[in-house]
Amino acid sequence: MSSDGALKASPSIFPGATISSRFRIERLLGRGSMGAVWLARHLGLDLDVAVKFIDAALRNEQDHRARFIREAQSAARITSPHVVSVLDSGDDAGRLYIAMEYLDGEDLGSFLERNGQLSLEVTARVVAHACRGLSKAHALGIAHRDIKPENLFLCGDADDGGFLLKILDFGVAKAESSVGSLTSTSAGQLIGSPAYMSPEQARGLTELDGRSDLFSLAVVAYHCLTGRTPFLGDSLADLLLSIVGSDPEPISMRDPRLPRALDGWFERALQKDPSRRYQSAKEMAQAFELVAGQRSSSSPDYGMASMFPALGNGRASSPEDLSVSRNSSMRVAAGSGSVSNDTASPGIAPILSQLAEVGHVLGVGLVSPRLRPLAHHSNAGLPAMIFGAIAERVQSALQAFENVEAARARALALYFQNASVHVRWIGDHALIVVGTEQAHPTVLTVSVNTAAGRLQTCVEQAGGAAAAFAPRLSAAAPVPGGRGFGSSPLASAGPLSPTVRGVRTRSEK
Amino acid sequence: MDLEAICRSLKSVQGVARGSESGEVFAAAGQIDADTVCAVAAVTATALLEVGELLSAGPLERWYFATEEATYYASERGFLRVVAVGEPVRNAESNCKSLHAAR
Repeated sequence: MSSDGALKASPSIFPGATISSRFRIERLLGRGSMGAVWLARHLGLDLDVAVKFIDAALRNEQDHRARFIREAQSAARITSPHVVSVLDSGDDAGRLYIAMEYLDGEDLGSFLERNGQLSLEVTARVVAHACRGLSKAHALGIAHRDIKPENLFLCGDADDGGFLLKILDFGVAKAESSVGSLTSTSAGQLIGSPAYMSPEQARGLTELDGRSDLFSLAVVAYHCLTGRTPFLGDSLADLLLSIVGSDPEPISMRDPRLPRALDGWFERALQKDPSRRYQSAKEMAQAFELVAGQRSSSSPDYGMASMFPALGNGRASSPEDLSVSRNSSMRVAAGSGSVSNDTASPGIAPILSQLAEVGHVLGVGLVSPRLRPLAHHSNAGLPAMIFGAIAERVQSALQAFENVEAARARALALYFQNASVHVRWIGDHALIVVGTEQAHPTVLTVSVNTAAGRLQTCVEQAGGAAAAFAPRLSAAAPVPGGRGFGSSPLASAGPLSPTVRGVRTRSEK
Repeated sequence: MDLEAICRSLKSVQGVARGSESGEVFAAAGQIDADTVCAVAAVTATALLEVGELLSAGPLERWYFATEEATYYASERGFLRVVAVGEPVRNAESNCKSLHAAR
């Protein structure tokens, strides 16, 4: 950027500072190569967010500002539960910032440091989730270019295996279409983390594509399974020479307990020539799943044939087999995805679609205070009306609380033997998620909270829920179903979110 | 595990009570208006079962309801129900799971 005095004199960041009148800084979460990440409170939404600031020393550097802005733009374009969501970005008196969803958990680097090496099952989940996020990025022509354990965040409790992996830091990402037109990462700098670099990165090439990320992810997988990276060197030069010229030790020689088939997977994934590697994240994930001899519980469901792994003990083989439970009266057809968006806002559909992609989620719906399904997304064919009917029953159930609790409802989670239902209120609207019994509670909770945060951002940007979720004029018909949605007295009983008085504790009596 | 121990083991939980599915209180520990919470949980759970029936999802095993001021947890097993009340927490799901496992 310029050497503008105002920028140089931009105020520092400290707890209590307010940024763009929207974020109040709480505490430092960590530091990266380009800046620091702070926990902040979104004042309008009353929501924790992570705000990343470019370092003061780099604020006036054109290249670094460009990279910082590119990170915000790249990550914001990718809608995947496996990529951290960007909620906002801006420039507050010279302080460039990116506001992202606040993630609870730890990065894979710290997790590896604590655990040394990981099981095949956990590694399979890391590969599956990372491939899913990369698949979305690569489809948009975005290569991450710095895949390493520190940039793979495990939300939830990684120790019990119930994590949702999210890819962080698109700071060195580059749109493939813009290769050659940008200079900030092409001036002879080595961008990325050496131990996880692809051979093309190690050679200093700038024309990288998604296959470079896949190589780096294979290095991460090798590290997970063996506790060390496949390419070593006493100096940076030695390391780069090793990446460019050496073949890694077969993984089964490092740990004979691992399936021999993994040797073939790594042999292909770590090829020096990108054209001899797996050509897509999807192909690489499916091959890993095959050689690992298992389907991880959160493995990607890329095809409709694998949409229903959790319904019953085996894989569904016909439409009749596909139901929420083993004895279900509510059948859903194989391959019959069901999607609707009756709101005038185009931003709602991608948020629901992303949530519907989380492992073992059967469907997602947004329901109005009058119990009207406004939008839904179900890869399992759940109809919109089911969400209205669930909302009606939930409203009825929570009426009992109206006598004892005065606070606004935030969330409800129901764990049945064969399914789980999560309800998250955004104002008076309800976001409802139906999952199978195999949907991991932590993964689902993190995903629902992420989606709710993004919906709240939509509400704020639109100037209120009424505007954000306003139905299209052509979508005014009530949805039939259940006990007569639209005609039930409950349908006009007021806000779905109950307002109730506080339960007194015994000590207050 | 006794209720005192459960109460201590759950993060941000103030009180725990054990009762019948119809809301009768058998025992309580910590700060909880057990009569009220058990009665409300009984009415709520009965209605929530309809959500399960709608989805043919089988019996309700555990649930939680979070407001801006409190979180209510319930673990169902047979005709017994264990309920807990605590502060709003980020990991309500984790407490709910632990309550169900510990009871």
